[in-house]
This record gives sequence, C-alpha cells and structure tokens, in this order.
Amino acid sequence: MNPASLESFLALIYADPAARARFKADPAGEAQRAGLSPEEALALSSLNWSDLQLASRSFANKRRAKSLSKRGRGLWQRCLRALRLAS
Amino acid sequence: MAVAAVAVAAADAVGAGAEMMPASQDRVGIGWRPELAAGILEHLDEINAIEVLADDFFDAHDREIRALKTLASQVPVMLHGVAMGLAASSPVSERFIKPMAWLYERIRPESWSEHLAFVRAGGIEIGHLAAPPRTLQNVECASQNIRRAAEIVGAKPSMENIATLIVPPGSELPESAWTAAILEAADCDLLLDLHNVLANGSNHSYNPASFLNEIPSERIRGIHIAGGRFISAPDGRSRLLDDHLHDVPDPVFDLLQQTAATCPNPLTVILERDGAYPPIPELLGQLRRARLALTRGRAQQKVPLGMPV
Amino acid sequence: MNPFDLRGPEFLLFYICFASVVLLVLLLSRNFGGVASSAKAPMDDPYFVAFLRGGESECVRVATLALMDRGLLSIQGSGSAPSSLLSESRLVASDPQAISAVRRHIEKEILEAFQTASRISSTLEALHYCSACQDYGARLEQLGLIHTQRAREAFRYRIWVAVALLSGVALLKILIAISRGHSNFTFLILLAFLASYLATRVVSPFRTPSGERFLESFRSLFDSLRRRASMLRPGGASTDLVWLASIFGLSAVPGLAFPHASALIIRPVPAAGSESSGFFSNTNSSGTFSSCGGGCGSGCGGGCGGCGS
Repeated sequence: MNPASLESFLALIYADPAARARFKADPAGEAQRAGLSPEEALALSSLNWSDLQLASRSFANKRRAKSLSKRGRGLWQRCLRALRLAS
Repeated sequence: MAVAAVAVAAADAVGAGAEMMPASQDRVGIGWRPELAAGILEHLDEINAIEVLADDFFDAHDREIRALKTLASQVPVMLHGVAMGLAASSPVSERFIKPMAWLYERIRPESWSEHLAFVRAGGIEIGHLAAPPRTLQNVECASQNIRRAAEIVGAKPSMENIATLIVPPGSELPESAWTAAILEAADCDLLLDLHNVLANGSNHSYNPASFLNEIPSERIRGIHIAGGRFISAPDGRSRLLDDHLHDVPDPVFDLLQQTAATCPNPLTVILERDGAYPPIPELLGQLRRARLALTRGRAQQKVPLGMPV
Repeated sequence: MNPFDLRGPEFLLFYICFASVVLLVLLLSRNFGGVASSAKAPMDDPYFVAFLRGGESECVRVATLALMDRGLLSIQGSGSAPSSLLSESRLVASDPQAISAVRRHIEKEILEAFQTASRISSTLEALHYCSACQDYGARLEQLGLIHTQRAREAFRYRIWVAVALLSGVALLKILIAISRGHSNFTFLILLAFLASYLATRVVSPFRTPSGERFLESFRSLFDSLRRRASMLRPGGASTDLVWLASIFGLSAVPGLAFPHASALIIRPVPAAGSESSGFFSNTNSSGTFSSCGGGCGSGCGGGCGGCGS
C-alpha cells in the first residue's frame, strides 16, 4: 500500500465535491481510476460517508476563511513574503 | 490548598534523580488572539506563557513583528504552525518550512510546534489538518520531514496530535502506537492536545485514558486544552467537534490530571479559544482549573503506579 | 569663497540652504539624550500607555472615561446639553465607597477629586499634578520611554543656539551690506525672521525612540480593537474601551455608544502666546509632563488638537 497515493486521493475527495460525489456513487471504480491498487481501493471502502461529509464541510470552511484572509493581503505583503522566502 | 501543600512536601521529600516533578515548574498560558489582547495583557501575572499562531505573522509588517518581540520580552512566547503538514507520506517542500524559520529567527521564541497531520497532497490544498494513513512507511517519511524542518528552523518542534473525524484508511497502526513511533523516530516532543484525545476517543470508540497510558509520557512537554460541542452527523450519530468555541469540559481536566500524574517533565498547558469569547475572568477560571488539575496530578505522582490514590 | 561676499540673490540662496541645514540638524537632534534602560516596561497598565502617548492630560482623561463607563462617575445635571458644553458640566463619584474597590492609583485619585460634584475641565487639569501622574512620569523617564526634563531643557538650549546662528549670520551680512553702501536687505530680514520662528516651533518630542517603538507595539497588538471599536458597548464589561482610548486616543472612542467621551476631549485654547499651534505640537512650559509631543502622530487623536493647555 502506498500511503502517499492514498493521501492524494483523500485530498481530492476532501476538497472536490464532484470527486466526492463520484466516489460515493462508485468507491472502488473511482479509486481505481485514480490509479490506486485494489488493496488501497478496499481500504477506502471503509470510509464512513457521513464522517466524510462532515470533514469535507469543515475543510471547505477553513479554505474559505483562508482565502478571505489572503484577499485582504496587499501586493506589498505578498512581495514581502516572497522576499523573505528567497533570503 | 491542602493538595498543593502535599505536592510541595512530596517534592521536598524525594531525593536527587527522582522522577517527581514539582507542580511549581508547571505553567499555564493561553493562545494569543487579538480579541483577547486587553484581558491577556492585564493578567500576565496569571498567564505564564503565550502561544502565537505563526501563520498569522508570516506576511506581517516589520512593526507587527516588533510588537510580537515586545510581547515576547514580557512573557514566554511559543510559535504554533498549522500549515506545514509534516506528517505527510511524501517530503514537504522547503517553501512551507522557511516562513517558520524566518519568524523563529526574528522572534527567538521559547519553542515552536506543528501538527501530526498532512494538509496537502497531489497538488491539492485540503485547507486544514487531516490524518494520514498510519503506516510504518508514513512514520518514516513523517520523521524525515520533522527532522528536516528542525534543521531548517534551527530547533526541534513539538508535534501535536490532531482530532480527526475520519479513521485514516489503510492504517496499520493505532493512533497511540503511530504517534509514539514518530516521536521516537524524529526524536521530538509531543504537544498533547487533550480535547483532541477526548474527541477521537468519543468519535472512534476508545477510552481516552487508555490512549494516555499508551503514549510516551516522557516526551510530553506541552499540553493544549480546549472545548468543543457535540453535533449530529448526517447519519444521525453524535460527533464531538473540536471547535475551540466552548469552555474546556470536565473530562479534559481529568485527562490533564492523569497526564500530570505520570509525566516526569515540567508541563506548559495552553488554553485554546478561537471565538465566542467569554469575559476574561471565565478564561482565567479555566486556567486556574488547569493549575489545580496539574497540582492534583503531581500529588498523585508520589503514589506508585497501579496503587489506588 | 567667503559667502558674505556673495551678491544679494546668491546670498539669499546660500542663506536658505544654511537655514535648512540648521533646521534639519535641530530636527535630527531632537532624540539625542534619551536614556536607554534595560528594565522591562510594564504592558499590563493601560493608563501607563495613555501617559506615554499623551502625558498627564491623556492619562487622566482616559481614566476618567473608564470610571464613567463603569458607572463610578456620573455627570450631574447634563440633561440634554450638547456635547460641546459637557466639559463645563460637573462630575461626581456615584459611590463614595468605590475608592477602596478600584485597583489603580490614578483611579483612586480621580474618584477622590470628584467626591463632591466638580467641574470636569478644571478638576481634570488639577489632576495633572496628582501623585499618580507624577509616578507614571517618573517611571516612564526611568525606563527611557520619555525624555527627561534635562533632555528637554538641553533641546531648548539648542533651539536658542540655532536662533542665534540664523540671526547672527543674517545680521553680519546686513552689516557688511551697509558698510558697502547697500540697503536692499528687506528680504534677508524676512527670511531670518521666518527661519528663527521655525526654529522656535520645532519642539522637543515627548517620547524617546524607545518610547515610540513601545507605543507602536501597542498600536500593532491592538489594531484589531481599533477596527472593531464601533462594536464596543458601554457598561465596563471589558477593558477594551480603556485600551482603545489609551492607545489610540479619545477620538477613537465611538461617539454614539459613548457620548460622554466627547466631554473629555481637550478643546483647542486660542490664547495669545499659547504653544498649542506648534507644527510639531507642544510641550507644556510649566514643566509638567503634559504633552502630545512630536510623536502625536495618528495616536493622539482628538486629544492632540488642543494640546496647549
């Protein structure tokens, strides 16, 4: 089992409502289409849909909050951050 | 007060090399939130430490950094990051670690911490902390990420356990064993979030007290306490959300006491509150309860494990 | 090349450059003589910050506002008087026993001063000399956050040296011109008067560079409070109002929720010889600490507009 591949798939269904809906409709098929092994697809079948919905909602709220706070960041602040990372 | 006196007396009675940790070396503090600035500054006599969300300062103007340094001159400050994702099963890019290194260099805090979580994978940002599959492969990668972060920042982080509604698919290890393995492999300390322990225990049907017995207490130096609320999941089951918007519940103080009873290190307990702020006296009341739990726990240390208190 | 041999227009140009240099040196020398201190400045007292920002005047006014908000002082018989006349109203302590209940020395002194109903403006002015204000001033000087009286006097000496230089150079040129039979030096006289006048208006700053940085830290830490000032409600439930007024001035206090705050804002006194019109604001010539100083900036707010009390 490759945990990195599993994490990529998890990130996809956490963040993308369409991917999540496709996964709900066909968990094994969607996992295989994402390049996961049958073993990994089987592991994903243990995911509780209700918990997945709750978690995804929470992640979406956090992404929204971060996006709002980034919008308030001026060009100068973004340049500052780039300069700091480069030094 | 009698409990505190017992704790101090026990500390005096124990000789050199003993494992007893006097309660007086434990500290309580609070997470810095601008909404709480007035209350925090006015009660620095009751607040031993302040934890600052590092990500809020990565883009800060110089004057905000200077303000943080001024604060750090008054009270020990710890930096707490949320966006590195060091427990990922793939290497974390330096560009997510360098901002912490930059801020650490400027502020020279007492310590810094991050989470045992992944926050992005396959080029997708999740937005917050997610639990990775708990496998030996993940332990190896996570510990490498943590060691590299320690090199770049110039100091080892404490790693915090997270609350997760999802039991990570493909996991080979229980959370306690996985946590212990990463701490050992990365040679770092644990920032033990007790409400996360409570929430995971409630949501995944295990005893939080047993979890505490399964993690290496000698690696615990920091503790988070917080509150949450029960919600009804779409399938009708009850779920405990770690929302940081409520008072610390009694079970968390019980877990704190249990931790203080077994941990040989001085502990710094940080109260996390992210909104729905009550008047500052209520927050200070929770800090006092934390102190009392620490004192009671330390008093229990003089009793051999397995014997009734 | 002797500048005094320059012809009229060239000498005027030289004089303008010379005067600019003298004024610039005077400006840059304002912060010399500050005493650096290694002691930690307290961050837990909003009145300490109010004094740092605006001297006794601001300290006393902010403390009075806090007491009014907590219901410990009330305006007597203001009725529906317009806010511009409130400063001529009387304040009285609502509860004679409250003196023993308040924590801060300045609050005790204010409550004592208003034990019987007294006019707001004159009583507050008398409170500039109270022991609490003296203590704050002495502490701020000791910490190197405000200039000492000696430093301010030294700066006044530098002003007179500058005036002597400016007028001396002009006078010398005039004498040389007269000796050579010239009489068109009106413009030079006007320039000399203007330069000397400008030199006398450059005022010794109240705060040292350390004091400026310390105040700036508070402005940064409380920036979110300033932005949500309109959400503050009266009643003294939190100390946000006190910190807002201390750090940003009474003019930052929302007038709708706190209508009586305007009674405490200093009005400009257009008296002859007043120092209030200095373009870097003024230092009270009575020798007390009261000043908005050169560091008025954005933080002095309405309290700076009439600093010439």
